[in-house]
Amino acid sequence: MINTKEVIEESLPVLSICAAISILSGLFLGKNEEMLRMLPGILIIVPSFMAINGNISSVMSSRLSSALHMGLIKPHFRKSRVLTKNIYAMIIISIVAFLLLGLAAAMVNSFLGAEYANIMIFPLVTLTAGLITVSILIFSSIFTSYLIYSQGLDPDNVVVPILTTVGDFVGISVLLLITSVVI
Amino acid sequence: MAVAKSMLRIIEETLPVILLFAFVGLFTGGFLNGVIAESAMTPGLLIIVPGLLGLRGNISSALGARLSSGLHLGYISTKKFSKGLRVNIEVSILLSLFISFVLSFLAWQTCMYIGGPCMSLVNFVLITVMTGLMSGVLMSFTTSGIAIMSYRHGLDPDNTTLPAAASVGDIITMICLLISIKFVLGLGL
Repeated sequence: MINTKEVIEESLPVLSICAAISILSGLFLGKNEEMLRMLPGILIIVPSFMAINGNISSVMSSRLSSALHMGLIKPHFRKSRVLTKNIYAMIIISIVAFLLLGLAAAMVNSFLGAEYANIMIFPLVTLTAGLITVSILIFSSIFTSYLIYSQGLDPDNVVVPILTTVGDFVGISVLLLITSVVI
Repeated sequence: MAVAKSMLRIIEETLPVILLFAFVGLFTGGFLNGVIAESAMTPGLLIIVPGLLGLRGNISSALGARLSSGLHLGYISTKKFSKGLRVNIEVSILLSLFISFVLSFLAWQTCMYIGGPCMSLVNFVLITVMTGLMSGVLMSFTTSGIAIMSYRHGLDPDNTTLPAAASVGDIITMICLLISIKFVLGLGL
């Protein structure tokens, strides 16, 4: 039977850590408020960008946990078929998703009549920033899962909440960085 | 060959969901744009946005996962408002309240630290807690509804509740944030 006190006691620490990390993402957004105010189109893609990153890293992490539990991969950094397959799949998914997001953002912005020198800046920004972020996240996901698994803990309970939060932080900083470079 | 084939399967099963999320995210982005339009009057507000979205995602997905287990194990009924369901909803609302309180303090501290213009601590707390509580109540009932309906129709709530809750959660949070800003600005503290 479920007990209110117990669930709260177990959830509070992880949630508080996630809240603290998410403030770092907020810090980046807050610091770049001026730039975002000048480029309203970028702000529209922020939630989608975060959602794609979050999904890719949680799918990757939960697939890795299952593979580790089933013994399909060992927690050592060696070339393995299962790992290669997963990495390629995630990269192909990101290319399609980020490209489509960029095109959709370009369409929304030209529809709203925003004035940009070149509307194709959106696919360029989402694709570049997306692929950099996803590469970092794939590596962190493998690293964290291996580390947690070799400590004898279950990666299912720890890796997904941590990685989605870290993913937001990495995603927002890379997106803002690439935007300021391109503009 | 085997590698290419199973890779294709991962892509086929994952890509549609991710694209759906990205699409829904564009609407959230539209609301976020509305928030920044308000944020001239509420400086520093943007700092709590990722925290609020993350909090909602974490609490709703944990609730969805617990409800699914409860339905499978049978301690949550699809017919009446059982004790298991009540406790789960209670827990989610309490956690939303606690964490948004923590979040507002952290955000205020961070805003002071970067030295930009900041709204008062009272405004930070009021806007964050109001958004957290409102979206917490709305999302707890929505998530429970989706889980129970899925189970009643013979679907596995594990597969339906999480993606559904995550995609509506972001939009609901942004709408609640906009309402809270308007309300708190209206109070004029």
